[in-house]
Amino acid sequence: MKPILEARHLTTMLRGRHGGVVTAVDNVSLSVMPGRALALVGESGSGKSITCLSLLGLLPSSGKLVAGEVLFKGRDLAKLPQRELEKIRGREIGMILQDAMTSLNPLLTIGDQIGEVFRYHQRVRDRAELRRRAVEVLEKVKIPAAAERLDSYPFQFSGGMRQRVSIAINVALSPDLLICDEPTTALDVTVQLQILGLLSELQREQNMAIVFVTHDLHLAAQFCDDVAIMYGGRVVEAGPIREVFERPVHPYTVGLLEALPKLETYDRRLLAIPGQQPGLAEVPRGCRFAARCASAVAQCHESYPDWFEWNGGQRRVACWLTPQRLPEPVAEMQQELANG
Amino acid sequence: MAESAARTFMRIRDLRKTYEVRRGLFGRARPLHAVAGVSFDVQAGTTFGLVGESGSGKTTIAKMLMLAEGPTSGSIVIDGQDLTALDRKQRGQFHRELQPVLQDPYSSLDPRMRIGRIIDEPLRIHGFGSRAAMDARIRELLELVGLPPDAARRFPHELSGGQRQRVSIARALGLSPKCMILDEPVSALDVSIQAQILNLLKDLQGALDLTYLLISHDLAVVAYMSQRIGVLYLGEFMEIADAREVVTNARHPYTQALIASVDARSGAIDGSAVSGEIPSPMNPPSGCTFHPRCPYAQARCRTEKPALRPLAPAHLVACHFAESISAPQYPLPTPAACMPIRRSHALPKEMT
Repeated sequence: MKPILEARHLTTMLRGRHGGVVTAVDNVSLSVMPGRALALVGESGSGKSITCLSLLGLLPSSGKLVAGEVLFKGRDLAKLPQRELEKIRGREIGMILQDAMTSLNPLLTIGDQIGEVFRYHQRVRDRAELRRRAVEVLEKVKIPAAAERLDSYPFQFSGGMRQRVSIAINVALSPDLLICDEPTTALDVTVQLQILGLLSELQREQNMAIVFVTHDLHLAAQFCDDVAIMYGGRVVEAGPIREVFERPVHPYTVGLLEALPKLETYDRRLLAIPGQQPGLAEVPRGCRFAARCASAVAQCHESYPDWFEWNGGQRRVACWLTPQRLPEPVAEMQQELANG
Repeated sequence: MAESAARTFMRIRDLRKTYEVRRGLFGRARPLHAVAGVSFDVQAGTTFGLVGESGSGKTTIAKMLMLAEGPTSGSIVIDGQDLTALDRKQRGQFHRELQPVLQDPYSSLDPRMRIGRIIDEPLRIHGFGSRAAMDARIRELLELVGLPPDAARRFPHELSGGQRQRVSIARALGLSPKCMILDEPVSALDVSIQAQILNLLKDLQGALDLTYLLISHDLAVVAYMSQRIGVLYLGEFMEIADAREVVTNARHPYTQALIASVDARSGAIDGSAVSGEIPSPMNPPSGCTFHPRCPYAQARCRTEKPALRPLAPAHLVACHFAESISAPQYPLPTPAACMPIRRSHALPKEMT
């Protein structure tokens, strides 16, 4: 199966306020399969949100995609002019942000904002028709009494309901890809599960691919099929999420999973990763994680690790120590390969 | 452990806080029951975890314990003192015993003060002693929370989120309190930093014999830190039990929903578990306040409010059907592993 979205070697630079230039996204490659959900996991400052904005050509004016390509259905989005991109965004790619209060216009009714999608992309002009379609999508995202809520304003909705409206706007035209940047972080935990449940359902119905940006490993594990773990602007490990979480290879992934409080091991001491993520202005020459890594060797400090891949490229890890750290069956395979 | 020496440090009985909320300028004032009658005990040297979502009243409880808000009714006895009966001078003294650590280390530190000054502010207010004694104390506190001595000369913006939270902890420890109120101490931090702070708090508790009241929406964090857990919903306890009991044998449907939200093993998301959103505390549902969202709700739940009743010794549940609702199944951890973790890294001698 061909990936619906393939980003290759994305590199995004940001201009700082004081004239400095930093590399926020460094050589990031991702692929998203149709109908699957990819979790983009990382701590704040790891570059996950900037990666998303780079994919969509929505970078702020201080940012620039300096290298790489974004292949979406065979076209390179990085090379398309803004006008063409505007036709794709909203119709073929949807995007949901953390807080729907900031993505919805507080001065327009819900109905108007949903109707806008149809006006803009499908040139629907008939008001009754617009209302009918808006009710339809609101029902799709399970907003009760949809017809009566059309004339409400965003502030009249609760956080969870606003996020549903934002989802409605973004799935109205059945996009092939939905990018969700921390869609549930602002919500209460029980409401989080409802929103993710809704997204899951829509994903299955419409065979949408999803990129789910999050720092919450629990949610990622429950909701996604694949995962890419980012650290210091780079992807350090990627693969099917269950496999990665069950047998992590990169020391950062291992550390992250050990540091996460889990109910089933609530009485075991957490192993914290010492130190903190380097700031963007102070990236080391070698592996970004080397300074915090217990198993780092000299090579790790000198040069950035290559990718080690197995399972036909489904699993990949950027760590020099991968061959030593691999689960055994794969290590044997590697040995065979090395022997010829 | 120190169970033989167990002593009730905090004793809270039927605590209530009602705000009068007015709609519009001439609107009639209506009561909002932020905390609607909660009772719990906290043993000295242990952690009591309060879990709940927004509007559950957990922060209001903390405010009342810190004397920032007076209770509408009920009693709070902390370390033998009845908080409602303290006079002005006693209140000042009381603040030395109980110190808060708040959620956001970005807004809880004054950006224009150096770290040293932030930490010694409570010392100055409570007349700690000479300048030299205070400087020595600052160095000691910085070491205790794992910050380098030169951090005292920095400003908050020069520190990362984790370091700032260490500063808040150092500030709280300055007057050698007996108890700390931890209000979402790690929610603003990244996972790898979270674990550092949680472990630091655990070590300090062991070393300094502190009592914690931990407030969080994250049940996994609360289970890790606490010996006893109370699950709050709309200002009332739904379930109170020991951490092990909550993790392995939660009986209230709401507790189970919270468990589902932090359970990475459940695989696919089941959106049907808990429906709807938290109702307004201005207009709480009749009967069991959780019934409109509960997957097990029956007619009785709509009319009759379930009492918080013991299901087993030390396991209280407010649900009519607690016996028939099965707990999510977990592999049982070995009992030896359940001991609270006590200091694992060296601390200055005089502090132990």
